[in-house]
Amino acid sequence: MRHKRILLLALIILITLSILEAQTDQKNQKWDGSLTTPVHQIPLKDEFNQIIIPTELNPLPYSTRYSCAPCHDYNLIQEGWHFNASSSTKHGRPGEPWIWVDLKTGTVLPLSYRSWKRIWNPRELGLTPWDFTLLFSRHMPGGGTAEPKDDMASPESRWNVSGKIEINCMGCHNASRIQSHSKWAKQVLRHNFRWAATAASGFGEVGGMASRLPGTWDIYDGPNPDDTEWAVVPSVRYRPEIFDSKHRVFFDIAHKPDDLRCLACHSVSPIDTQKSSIDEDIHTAAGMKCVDCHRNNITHAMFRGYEGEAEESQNSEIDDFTCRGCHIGKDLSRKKGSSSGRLGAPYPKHSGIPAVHFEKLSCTVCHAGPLPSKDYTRVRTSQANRLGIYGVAQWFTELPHIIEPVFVRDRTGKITPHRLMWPSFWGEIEGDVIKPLKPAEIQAAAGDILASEEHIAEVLTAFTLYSGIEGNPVLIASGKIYELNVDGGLDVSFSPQEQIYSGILWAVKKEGKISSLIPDFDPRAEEMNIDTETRIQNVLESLKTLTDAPGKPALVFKNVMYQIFEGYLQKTEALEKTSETPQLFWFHEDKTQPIIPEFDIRTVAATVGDEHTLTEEQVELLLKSLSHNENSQESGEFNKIFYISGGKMFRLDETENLLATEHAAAEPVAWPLGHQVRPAQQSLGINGCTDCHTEGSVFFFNTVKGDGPLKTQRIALRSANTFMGLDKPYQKLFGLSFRIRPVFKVVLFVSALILGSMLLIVTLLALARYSGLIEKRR
Amino acid sequence: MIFRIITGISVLGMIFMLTLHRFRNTMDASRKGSDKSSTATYIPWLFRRLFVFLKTAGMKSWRERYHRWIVLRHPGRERWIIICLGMSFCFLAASGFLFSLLSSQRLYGSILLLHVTVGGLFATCLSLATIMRARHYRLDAENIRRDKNTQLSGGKGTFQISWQTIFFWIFVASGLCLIISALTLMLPYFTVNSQLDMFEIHRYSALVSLLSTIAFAYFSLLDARG
Repeated sequence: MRHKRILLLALIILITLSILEAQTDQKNQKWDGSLTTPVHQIPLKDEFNQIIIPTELNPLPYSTRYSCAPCHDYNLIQEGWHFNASSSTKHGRPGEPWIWVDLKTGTVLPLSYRSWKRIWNPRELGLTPWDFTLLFSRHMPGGGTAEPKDDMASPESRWNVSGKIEINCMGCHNASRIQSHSKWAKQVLRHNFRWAATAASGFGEVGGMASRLPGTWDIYDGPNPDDTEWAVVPSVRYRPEIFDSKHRVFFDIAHKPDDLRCLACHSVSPIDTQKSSIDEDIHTAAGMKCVDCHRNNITHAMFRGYEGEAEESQNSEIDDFTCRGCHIGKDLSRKKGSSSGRLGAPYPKHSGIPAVHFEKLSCTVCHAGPLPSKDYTRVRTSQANRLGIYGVAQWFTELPHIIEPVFVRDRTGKITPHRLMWPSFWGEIEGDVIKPLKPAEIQAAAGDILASEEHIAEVLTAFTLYSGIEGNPVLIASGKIYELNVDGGLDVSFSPQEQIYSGILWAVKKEGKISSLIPDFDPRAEEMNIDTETRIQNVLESLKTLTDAPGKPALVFKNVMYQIFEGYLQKTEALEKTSETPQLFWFHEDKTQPIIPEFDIRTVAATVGDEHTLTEEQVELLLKSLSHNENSQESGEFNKIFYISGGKMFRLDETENLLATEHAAAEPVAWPLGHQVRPAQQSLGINGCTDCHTEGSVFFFNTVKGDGPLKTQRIALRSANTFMGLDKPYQKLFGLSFRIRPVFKVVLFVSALILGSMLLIVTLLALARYSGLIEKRR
Repeated sequence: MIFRIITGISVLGMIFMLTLHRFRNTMDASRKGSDKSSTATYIPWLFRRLFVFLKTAGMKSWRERYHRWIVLRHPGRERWIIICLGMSFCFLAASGFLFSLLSSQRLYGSILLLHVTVGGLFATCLSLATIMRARHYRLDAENIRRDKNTQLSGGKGTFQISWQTIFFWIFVASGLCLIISALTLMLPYFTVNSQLDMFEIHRYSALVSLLSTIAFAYFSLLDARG
């Protein structure tokens, strides 16, 4: 009985404490009315909710969940737009998808957990949160997918090693210039998930690489004293000067984040443009910050600011932060006494613009993005092209190719400027069901088909490392020079005019001069020059270092073949092959084959130095390979594998030739753009109706060309009017009508003048008659 | 919606007034029954007239009407101007009112393009027709009409104005409003709100124009029959 009483008392105390705690939290959330930001001099806490003491041995990285939690409701923040993609049922207007780019397989696949048209859900592709985090956490703010619940861990994941990526509060709210997005990206790419926020915020230095640790490692294991070179356990060395005597750290918090923080993940800029020549958004130029419009409360449900968001979010306040909300206000008629929108934004008169434009077009058509021109503006975006990560290596990618502004009729029926990209991916089709294949699956099936550049790079690397030549070994093929670059790939340059060599030649480039890798010599001479002999021996020795070589390396010149035999250069008669120039071959079972197959030469000639990474020949071979792998030939379904690029679906026909067809899955993906907003004087239509309405208008009739990694002439072409759902002949005719409009206006004006004069005369005469003036005069 | 209601009421009202006017004239002419009985026989009379009209509405009768109303009254080039004016007006009224009354959208697409183009023709024809026909409808002339039912008298002088003349000039005035409102919608000097006001003026001018045309046509026919 007494035990029961004690238990009951304990229970009551527990419940009371929890209620009190909850109330304390609630109290902390409530704003007292002050417009100041509290000084954040707070202790750092680790993921075990322990205060971090920097002088302790092996301190852990700080955890935002526990460091910020005493005052801020972490769980509530997790519901914000930046974190809730995989858990929310609200998807909103389509935004920029994550784009999975794999150059080798030519995969450019738009992904999002949000349900947007033509965007693939990572779950459909079998991508786990771990996969998704590895692919995109470089530009993710943490939380959400990168911080899955324990029961969501997939077998291949390594969350126990890397830790989870908690919401990186300082990624947005750090007012200090020390906040580094590059550090964040590099840490997460090293799988140092739990350390990334600490490194990026500048609180400490992080060393080690979780990606090299065994999968069994755990944070409790601590550092590995036996390995300080390779599999180094990540560790933090805090900057001691930022801690006070109570182990508190000053967080330089910006309640309203700086634009630079937003731009770390939301930059968009045209390619081939200097940074200095880019004009900022007119709102930024006017002194506004991104968050002045894109506001949020503690829920971090930021206002995206598109029309209709208020209804979708059931938050009427958002209407104040659309273009119309700020510039027109609630009273559209602008009658006397009505107030303008937020901050008294300039009220647009839109003189001479027919009202139909405001019913059919969004404000951004005329005011945001680049002005329409014959060539669409190709842009890079932070998330798609990996911008804003700085280091020795080049981090950004050319793919995906994104163009703007493409005017598309959106889901509300209004024409809105969009960014557009063409998806490219390998996949399987069963009836109408499409299933994209992962790049890893393609690479596994491809064998050597996708390794042409690698093959040449391997040979050049072998020459560089082992042949002892001075200068850079190069390959000359089809009049182009291929040499190794720092990333292990190939760079291409054109050979000088006097040195054009149409065949295939291994050469050395030294101080800008090209000379043959094997110097000219007389193979029939009794004795060979010792330097030449050494060079041949070294070259053949270096080729022997290549793994998976199809034979022994050999040099054939005229009817003589040189090989390495028991460490010596052996000269024999070339039985199968003769060559007028010294040529390297693989020799196997009395047969020779070129060091680099012609297929590789063709492929590299077509793709290296080009924006395209695949040839039709590769696609055809790979489709055959994949079809055979699928064992589908027997069932007659050999063409169920496809590759999509440039708006076309490539499949094999009955005769196993490459066939390009149209398919909905190959259609482009587009999402609306909101910025950069141009000043009114640079808006579309400022020069009059003919900015858009001409018979050859780029606004209506520009051609969007299919684009993708595949080098092909078979691409989709779409006229701009198709995206708007507008009729081409009518728009042509309408555009043409503007040629005769001036005449038309004159006709109307003259007619009005005649009728007005007639009416005036008749009225005056009638008045004169009515008043008896005419009779009086008579 | 208000415009739809006003259009419906005014057009039906105008038709009612004119048919009643015709009915009373007919009754007076035949000197039958009292006013009360006349009102009671109005609806049967209306249906009877409608039936007769439909019965005689063949190609031949239309050709006769065309000959009587157009060929005889408008010789030479004037005839073509009147035909163009009539046809352009019919198209403009049909396209404009059908969209206004039946569609939630304003005029758009090819119909709008045609509407605007034909509007130019209408403006030209209206100006020419006004120049040519104005002398027939002078407000100051001593244009005595035989039929007292088509006349309006008053003023200090002893002049009388026919209903036909009044509706002619109402038609011209509303045509002027239509042209000016259409022109201002094309000029880059007016704000969106001003344009919306102009658009309303255009619609109501069109309504006045339509009503005046109906009335003018009625009194013209009555006058032609003597």
